[in-house]
Amino acid sequence: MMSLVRGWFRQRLVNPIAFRLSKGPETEDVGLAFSVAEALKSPQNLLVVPDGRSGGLFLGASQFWAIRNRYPSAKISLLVPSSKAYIAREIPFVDEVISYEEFLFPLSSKLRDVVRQLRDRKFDIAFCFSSEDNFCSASLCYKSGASLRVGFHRDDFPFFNVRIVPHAKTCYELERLALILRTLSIPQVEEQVSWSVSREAAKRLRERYLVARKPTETFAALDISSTDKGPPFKQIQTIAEEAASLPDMRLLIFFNYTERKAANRLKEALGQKALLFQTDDLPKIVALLEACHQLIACNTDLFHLAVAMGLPVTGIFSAEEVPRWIPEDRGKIEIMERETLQGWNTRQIKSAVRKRLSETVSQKEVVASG
Amino acid sequence: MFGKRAKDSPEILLDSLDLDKKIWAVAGGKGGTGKTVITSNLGVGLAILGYKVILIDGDLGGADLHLSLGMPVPRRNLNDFLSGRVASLNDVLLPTRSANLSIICGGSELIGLANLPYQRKEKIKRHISRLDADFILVDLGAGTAYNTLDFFIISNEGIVVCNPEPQAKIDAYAFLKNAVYRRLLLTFGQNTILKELILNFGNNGHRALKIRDLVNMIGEHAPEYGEEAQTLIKLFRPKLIMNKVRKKSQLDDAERFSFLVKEYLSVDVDYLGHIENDERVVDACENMRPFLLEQPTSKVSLSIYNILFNMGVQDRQLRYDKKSYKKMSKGVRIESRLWKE
Repeated sequence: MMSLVRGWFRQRLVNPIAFRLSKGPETEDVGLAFSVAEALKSPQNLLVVPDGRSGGLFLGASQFWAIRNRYPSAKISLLVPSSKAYIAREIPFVDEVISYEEFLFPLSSKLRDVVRQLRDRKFDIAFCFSSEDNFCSASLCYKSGASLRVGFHRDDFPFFNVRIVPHAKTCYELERLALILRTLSIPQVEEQVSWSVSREAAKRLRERYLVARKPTETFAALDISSTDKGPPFKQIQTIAEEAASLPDMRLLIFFNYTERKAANRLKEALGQKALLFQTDDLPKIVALLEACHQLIACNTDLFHLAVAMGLPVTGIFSAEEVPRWIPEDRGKIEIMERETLQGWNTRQIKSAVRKRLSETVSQKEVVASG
Repeated sequence: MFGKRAKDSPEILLDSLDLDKKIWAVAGGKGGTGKTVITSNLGVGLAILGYKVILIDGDLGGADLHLSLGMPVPRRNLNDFLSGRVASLNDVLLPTRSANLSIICGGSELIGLANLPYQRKEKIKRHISRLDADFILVDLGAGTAYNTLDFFIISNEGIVVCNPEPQAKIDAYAFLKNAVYRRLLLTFGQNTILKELILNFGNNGHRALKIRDLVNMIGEHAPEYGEEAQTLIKLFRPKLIMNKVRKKSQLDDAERFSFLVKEYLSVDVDYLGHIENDERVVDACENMRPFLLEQPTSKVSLSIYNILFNMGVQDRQLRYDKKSYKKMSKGVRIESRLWKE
């Protein structure tokens, strides 16, 4: 509840005030003679502002790849919140990652520093992939001073000089992101980016983190990071307990700073059947997910990573999130809608979790024996 | 920094650089200052904070670290490795009741093992660097034998455990002094003139000469060596724990000790904190259990967490930090339960 209030407070009050109060450098008026086609021809410095969520980076990677293909010699900088820098640092299509604190006070030195960093780089184009309600990303894009600033249109955002009108209906995130590049005639890449860890590194990471691993043991992953809008803790606990109760199974719980207390309550309840991992290192997360036969995601953070890795995933999302974050071709994805889950009792939740986990375990066994 | 991608391949191949590993050596000069008990409890504390820890009993003459973890007769020990019965240190690694904590027990059945020959020492160093853990804690024996000094010097952090008694402080000072000389000898030992200079200077210790005079003398011989010696001493930052403190006034001793070391050895000592004298620690030792698990809410247990946070360790599960370490006794419940199982 508190985080919802904080989110609203930040989104609706603090960010707009911050923007209006901070007298950062204004962008130069490019005048009437400005040609978008000319600006897109051979830019040297590009700023890419992705959606600040982890999903925005995992899904956005293929868009960054397309930009890299279109401008092979340009310097591409990625601007991300500091909590997501660990993902951005691993994306090979960009040359530099600039990170900023998620909460920037007006007139603060931190805000001024970020704006100064952006201005120093003299960007030719700034692509803003964040959704149209993200004030902070859009305003930083504007403050960067890039000659051409492309982003999604919103009536009260005067930040872009090329505004893309978003789809009227909620569409799949990848389709939404692709709209920007399509409008600018930047060719798309055919395949989606996937992630893996070198065999040697994966072995090293698993030896370090999966302590006291037994040969017959199987692992399932549960991502509870960023669950401020996710299912209530009791439901998460039921899911975790059921998963951990399966024979020879241990649960890897991924969490971030804000969910540390929930993670520790689960650890207290499950003891050695649960291992906790903070989401702060991408190779570690990928290596550990590779050891699991399924991910149960209470949010979209690791969901997209697991999908890109081809791991069976059960996503617990609200009905309104589904069209944006889940592709039409669901493949190994199973969705448990939060609204449905709310109507279920503990026994029903347990049975659904058990069924899903048993399915993926037997699938993995078939693949292994095959 | 960035992941790799094969040309035109949609797969991003992530790699992980060498995983972070820290080696802490616990020494003290005098016997009975509590090195072994503190090492085992630091290990348990780190395991509770979520780290993979290996304890090594480096007291080759009188190994007893396993006793403080309730392991009466170890099946395998360091002697098996040193005598070549097993090929790797991993083969003598024994599990404890905590999944995060393993131990390499020492052994004293081989006469003369307390003075390892150079080749064996290098072998053991090489194998320690190959062990996989977040923290490797080496419990070193008393005295200033070259073995002890060398392990202390190669560690990332050297911790000196001292008591308020004058004898313990004198021995701790002597240990640090010998560590400084050993450091200089290992660096400049190939140069016969400098080696002689360092040894002569050290042997005139009764004149209370200061290390900076030695550095100046090295600098007079060759300015570049002087600078190197200065850097070498600057980089040497041992830590200090004052154990078995009974009175408040004894806390000032730590400050005076640090001042003395700085004045005469030009070495900055980081004071990590103190541990009070507590009979319950003796009880825990008699029960062969770490006091961190036996007396989780006691002041001595909280002192261990305080020391760990002063060492810059973070709680991997993000429960506690330097400000909230006093609540750590709660977190020990699970660990303590597992230890009993």
